[in-house]
Amino acid sequence: MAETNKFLLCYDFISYPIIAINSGFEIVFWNKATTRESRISALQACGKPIFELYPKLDSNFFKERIQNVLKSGLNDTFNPQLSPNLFPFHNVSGKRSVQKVVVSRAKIKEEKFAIFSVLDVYESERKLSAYRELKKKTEEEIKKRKEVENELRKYLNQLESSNNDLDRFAEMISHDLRSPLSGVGILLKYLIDDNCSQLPSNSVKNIELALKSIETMQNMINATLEYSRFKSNDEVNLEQVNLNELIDEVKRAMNIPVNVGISSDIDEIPVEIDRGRMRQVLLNLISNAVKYNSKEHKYINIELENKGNLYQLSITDNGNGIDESEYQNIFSLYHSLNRRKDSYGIGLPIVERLVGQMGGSISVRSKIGVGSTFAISIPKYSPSAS
Amino acid sequence: MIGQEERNDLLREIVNIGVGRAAGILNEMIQKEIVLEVPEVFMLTIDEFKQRLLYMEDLFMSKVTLKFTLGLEGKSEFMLTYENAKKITSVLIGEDLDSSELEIAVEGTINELGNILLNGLMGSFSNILNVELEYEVPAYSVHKLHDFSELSENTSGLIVICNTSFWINDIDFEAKLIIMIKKESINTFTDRLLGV
Repeated sequence: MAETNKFLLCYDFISYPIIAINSGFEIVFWNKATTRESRISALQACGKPIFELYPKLDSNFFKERIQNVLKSGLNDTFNPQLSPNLFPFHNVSGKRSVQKVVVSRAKIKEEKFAIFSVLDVYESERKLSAYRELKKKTEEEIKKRKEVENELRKYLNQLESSNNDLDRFAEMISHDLRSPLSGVGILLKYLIDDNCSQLPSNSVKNIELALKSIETMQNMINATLEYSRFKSNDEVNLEQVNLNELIDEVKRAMNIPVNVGISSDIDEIPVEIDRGRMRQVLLNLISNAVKYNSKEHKYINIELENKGNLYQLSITDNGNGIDESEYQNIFSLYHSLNRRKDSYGIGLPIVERLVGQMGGSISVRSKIGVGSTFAISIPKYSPSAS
Repeated sequence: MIGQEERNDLLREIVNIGVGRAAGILNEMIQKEIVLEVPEVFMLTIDEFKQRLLYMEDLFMSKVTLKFTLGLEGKSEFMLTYENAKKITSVLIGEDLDSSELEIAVEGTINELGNILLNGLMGSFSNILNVELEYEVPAYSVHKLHDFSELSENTSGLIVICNTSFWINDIDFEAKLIIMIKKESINTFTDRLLGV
């Protein structure tokens, strides 16, 4: 008996409850942790049948399993799901413990004991529960995001398809209108040339007005065709471009009047951009800066700044300026601020479209009578690559 | 010397006794009608076993492993797909299949269920073969089948496979009870089998 006690006393140093019973189901050992969590002392417990203190164990299936452990040495486990609350213990923080009980056999000399190790799995169950909850929420979030992404992709495809249809439609209508309109114009001219002396002056005036309207319409059709020429599905062709050289090229192409001064503050270092698109952007913006400036001496200044991952190109003029309420509208198709006969509200929408195709954006700041600055931000990498 | 058929009959008897005992305990404990059947028992090398289970190697499997030493060295396993493990847990503890509580309960439930079955099986196995074994505490794990590293480490061992069918409240589940004998113990195992 002394040897048995000596052996079992080792369990006193274990931090979780350990109870030993003999083959008659009588408690023979009760460690300190069991006293702490059960609030029953070893003195009170030892010598009593385990069922007296824990009646839940007093059933055939638990008895049979415990006997099986004693007989065969096969360990058994009682988990909280199928065998809950066998030992109504409270852990150190005073909470009712959620237990996993491992029953194993100890053989001392010829005597066999069943050892109950009562492990509190409350904390691990709680952590596991929190982890599973988090995992479930994350999975749901990912699922939702994927659904939103798919929906967005669907709308983008629809939008792209509608845009392409619209472009094709505009191109077709413009193209098909051009020939008959030009025919009407020629016939009206013949009418004036052949019958000028016979027609009343009022009728001649009306025909001349009709010819002017035809010219305006032809210009609008040409502008629409020009706009639809810059299709979004054309690839961005990046190349090393010296912007100063490009600006000079644009200036030469435009035949700038002598009262216009164009300066630029740009390094000679080449930048990687789409040359064709940037040429058109500069052409339209410089042309606008010249056109919409009624001052005698006109100035245009072009600057390039390196801003992290972006190039920022600013084109500043001392022109008529734009009212703040028009900042958004000026990029809308056919929206013209001027009543000039050569203004069809096409130039800036083309600029915005081209900048967008290069993965960039355009903004404007202006003051009436002082001038405007158009700022273009373009990423330093290919939009398709990104 | 016993033939292959007699050997399989003997193994079937060992398994049926063990599983029958486990079913009795489970019936009483869960208070639900549990029927356990072992329609097939056969013996394979580990290579053959791997070939047979190739079709399920990508499935997540729940298993309870009980290692044994002393008279024989090896381990026994209760193995079923994780989906089946969830279904059984749902039936046994009455949690909804989609509930997060169920996921938490799978480990404890399958661990105890597997423990009862393996104890029944191994009790009968060691009794009938008259071999004394020492056991570790059963451990629960979830793996894909091809991650079972022990299988590749020990390719020359023997495996006794028992395909098991459960009916709990008339719902049918498939599971496997497996005994793997390490190559060092194959001769002892065969001798014991012949000596029965």
